[in-house]
Amino acid sequence: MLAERKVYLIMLLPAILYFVVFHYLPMTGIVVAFQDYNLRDKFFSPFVGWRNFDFLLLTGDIKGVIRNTVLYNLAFILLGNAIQIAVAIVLAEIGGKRFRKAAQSVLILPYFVSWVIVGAFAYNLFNYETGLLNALLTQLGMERADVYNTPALWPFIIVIFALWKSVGYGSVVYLAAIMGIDAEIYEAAEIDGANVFQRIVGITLPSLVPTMVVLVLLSLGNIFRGDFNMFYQLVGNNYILLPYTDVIDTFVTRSLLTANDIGMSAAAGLIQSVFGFAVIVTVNQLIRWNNKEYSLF
Amino acid sequence: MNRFTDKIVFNAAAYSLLTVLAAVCVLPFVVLLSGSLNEEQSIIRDGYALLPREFSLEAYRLVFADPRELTAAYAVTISVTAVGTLLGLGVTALTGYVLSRRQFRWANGFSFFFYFTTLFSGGLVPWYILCVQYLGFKEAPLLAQIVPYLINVFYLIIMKTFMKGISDAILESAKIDGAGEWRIFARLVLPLSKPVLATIGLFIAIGYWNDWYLSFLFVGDYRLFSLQYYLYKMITAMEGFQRIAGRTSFSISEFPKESMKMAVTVLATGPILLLYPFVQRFFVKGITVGAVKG
Amino acid sequence: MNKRMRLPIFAAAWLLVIALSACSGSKNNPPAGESQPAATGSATSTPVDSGTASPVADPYRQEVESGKVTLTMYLIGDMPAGQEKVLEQLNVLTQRDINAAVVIKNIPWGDWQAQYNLLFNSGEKFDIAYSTQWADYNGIAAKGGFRAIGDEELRTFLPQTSADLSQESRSYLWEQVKVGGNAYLVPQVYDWQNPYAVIVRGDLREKYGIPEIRTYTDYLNYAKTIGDGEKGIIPINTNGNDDKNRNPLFFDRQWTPLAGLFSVAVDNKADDGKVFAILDRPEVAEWARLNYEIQQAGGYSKSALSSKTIQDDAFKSGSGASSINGVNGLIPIYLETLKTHPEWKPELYDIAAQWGLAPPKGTDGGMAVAATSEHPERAMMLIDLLRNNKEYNDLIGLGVEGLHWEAVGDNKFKALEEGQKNYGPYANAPWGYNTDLMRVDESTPDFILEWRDKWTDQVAPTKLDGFVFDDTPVKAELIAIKNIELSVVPAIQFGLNKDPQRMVADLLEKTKAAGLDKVIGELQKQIDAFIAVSAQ
Repeated sequence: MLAERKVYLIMLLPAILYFVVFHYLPMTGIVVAFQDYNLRDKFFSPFVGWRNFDFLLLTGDIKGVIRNTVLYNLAFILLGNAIQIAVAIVLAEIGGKRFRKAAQSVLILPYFVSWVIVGAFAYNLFNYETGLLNALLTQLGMERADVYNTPALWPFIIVIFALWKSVGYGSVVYLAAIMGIDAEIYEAAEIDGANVFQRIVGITLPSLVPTMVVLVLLSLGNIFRGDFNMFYQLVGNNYILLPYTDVIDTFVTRSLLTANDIGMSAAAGLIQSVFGFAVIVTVNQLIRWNNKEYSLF
Repeated sequence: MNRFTDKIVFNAAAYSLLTVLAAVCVLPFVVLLSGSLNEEQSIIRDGYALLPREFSLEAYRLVFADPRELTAAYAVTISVTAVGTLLGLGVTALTGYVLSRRQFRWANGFSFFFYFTTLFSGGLVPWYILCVQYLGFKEAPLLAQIVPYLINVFYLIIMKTFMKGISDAILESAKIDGAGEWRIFARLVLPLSKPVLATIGLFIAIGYWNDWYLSFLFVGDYRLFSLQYYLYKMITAMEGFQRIAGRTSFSISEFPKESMKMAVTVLATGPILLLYPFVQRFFVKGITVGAVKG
Repeated sequence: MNKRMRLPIFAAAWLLVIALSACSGSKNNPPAGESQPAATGSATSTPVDSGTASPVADPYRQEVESGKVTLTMYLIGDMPAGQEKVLEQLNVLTQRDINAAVVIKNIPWGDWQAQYNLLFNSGEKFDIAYSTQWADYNGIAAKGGFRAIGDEELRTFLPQTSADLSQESRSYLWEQVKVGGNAYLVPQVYDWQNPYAVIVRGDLREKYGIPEIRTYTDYLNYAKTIGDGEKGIIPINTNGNDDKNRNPLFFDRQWTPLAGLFSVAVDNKADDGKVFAILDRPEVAEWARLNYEIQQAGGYSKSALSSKTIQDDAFKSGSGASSINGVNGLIPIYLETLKTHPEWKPELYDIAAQWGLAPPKGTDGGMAVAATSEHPERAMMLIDLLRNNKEYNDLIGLGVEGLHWEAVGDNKFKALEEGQKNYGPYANAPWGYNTDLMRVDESTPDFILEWRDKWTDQVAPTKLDGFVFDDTPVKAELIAIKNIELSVVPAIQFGLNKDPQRMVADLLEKTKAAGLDKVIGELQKQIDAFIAVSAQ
């Protein structure tokens, strides 16, 4: 038993080394959240208590910003996983082999287009004067839509773009999980006369649960973080839309755009970390009580 | 519902779903391609289109007028992706295997030890100081574009979850036959994990291929920029300048053209798509576990 | 056995990595290596500073003879394609004159701030960097990112700069770059400034009988009329981040904004140093109302806030009908449209300088020596040469003579085709060493040259010139206010609200809640102290 453990530890060595060097050593830098960082003293700069956190509260609508961040992430996690699972199942079960491969390749395309370009696409689609959508609407004899001044539309638009970009990429994991399911089980079900839908509900879905739980858990840790580039490139600094689209990362970036203050950005990051940590530990514990196999740690 | 109708119903639904999705996903790429072949002024005036309004190869001519940066970027990205994927996948698989072993009592503790780093970080500056001043990344720009992304906790945990699915019985019987851990890992676990290895390998490769940040941070020599950084510089130049334009005493009137940005995006995305069919070969249903068991 | 199998694979992989990085390492510093053969030929005998007259002090000589060094210089802005050739030649010069090799590192525009700040925050070793107020010169100097340049060092290692700055009309520049009593920046000197101008379409202006444009408000009225009359053209076609269009009352120098904020200013005509919030002034209400009308008339895009459109490009393509920019940026656009669309009758108007220009500030731009530099004296020498030696200044600004440009008399140049393609005139971050030596493009229209002559006479100093705000006591408030402004002001700028007055009032209320009064109080305190000191 002891010898076995030793082998395991040797196997873990590269990873341990990597995480200590690239993650745990620099982690000490968190102290700057409480310091007035200067270039002479670096991480031994004078401590200033909670002062670096002040700017977050002064701006006014931080509560709305946090709410947006959490709601968007929940939508991405729930809808994202649902759609990725659906696509993976369809890909696995569909008859035409060529079609399946082609579709799979095409679905992953959006993942490679950077948000800057996606933002430009969105603008070409939705802008009031020359947008494709409005060109279509006017041709159908309908009123033009003023998308960039209609905040209520944006939660849908952003979620759709996020799903669109991640569907092909995300479904790969689920597809791999389906490939790992024992073929004998399917064969047995078929002999028993189960149709495609019964097989999916009875075998495929339950087999995907561990993967799904892990993926959801992994994303929950980042529920207080937003993809700055996605929101910024789609929306920009659009005041009309901000109440529905401002997330913590866009908020902080906007604040510190010209400030060059690593203490304050560390402070904002620390808050996101602490909240995320609390969420993940709680959820993980709940899952542990339920089924130890599914928990992250 | 008899045995044939269910397949017909399913395939009808599946084909239409996938066709719609595929269309939505391929559309922007068509627009990109057409934009890169469109005359510059027409893009600015009328926006993008599905087919070029005024066909022009000018963007590609501009890109290839001085292709040194582009070809160097290809070389860098391809070698970084190849080496990085190989190393990263190796370490991830090995670590994932250990974490998946139920009899390893510390597996949970280590999982937490690794996962914790995704929640808390000291921020860019201390990490950067470590990399530049203690590890000398600026003097080893290629290494610097590989090492920081070797292990990703998310991939590690996905790997672990999949490997947990391998039946303990197989591994135990191998052990009884006298196989050591290394042998079990190499001869049993790796072959049984083909789909997840392909998945994670693909993810790691895409991660390296898509990365501009490490170049941005560590590489000063334009001959060692990655492809995506070459593209990123081009796409963001105007925005970076504009943030200060109102406060400067100087002006710039020439920035990379729209059509050129799109041409480079096309050139940067194309090659990785060729990798995908290769990866798909590993997605063959149910062979693995069943085959070994039988 | 498996252990034996695995190891070679990993070992091979690592070897590959090391080999890759080794060959990259050798590729890493070719400028020094490549130029060496050329350099040694002329190195030994040529005296320092063959051209200009200033006497060279002894310590200067000693420093040069103390051994060869390599200087790393960071410039902001993408690398021009022709830089390699320029650098090669520059290394010949520096080898000859100061026994140094030079490596230039360019920080590309995309995300330049992150990269530039990282340079200092991480304590990286380098020698010279471009710096300016918009790259947080004062902040970085105060935090200890630059090496102070003493007055004695200025005389010894920057002899020509010292001579230049000791002219009465320029000595104030050296005082202005001091932070906490020390100077950290070798300031550039403008021969002429780059004030805002607008380019409009003369054909449309005449078609609608709009008078010539003299003020920013005239310009806005032009946009309103054209927007109303010409469907399909968005006269001011730009994006939400374009703050060039944002400072209406600052253009004609009625007010000067403070602390980088929109909401706070001083009145130039009164010149009493009294700080006030501009948002409850009728002028701002008027501006907001006009913007709303322009939006209604179709003068702005309804989607401007999320747009990516660049105003210059929109003008050139015909989807816009104007652009506002520094005059130097508009000249090439003016010349280009004269050629591509003569029927548009493009017109350039000076909307800022004719109302009086602020005198150039020391912190407008210059070159600084890094605190981490191991050869600060030699770095100063290089800055001195780039700034004051015609050979150096021409080379870095315009490229290789005969390849990128050719001289037209003593102070003009003509860009050659190779230069236009690969080393645009003054494209390689020259804003750190502009001086009287800078050449004028011979294609510059005569009226611009006349403007420039006139502007020199229109410089109108105020009591606050050279005032720098120390924001440490109100840092959090300032950040909060900037955040609010950054989101609200663009919406007012593009008239995107049915009730512009409400929006201005809203902005005032929000900024007040974020501590506007505290910021104004602190500004007033520091300004009073500044005026009291300069009065002595």
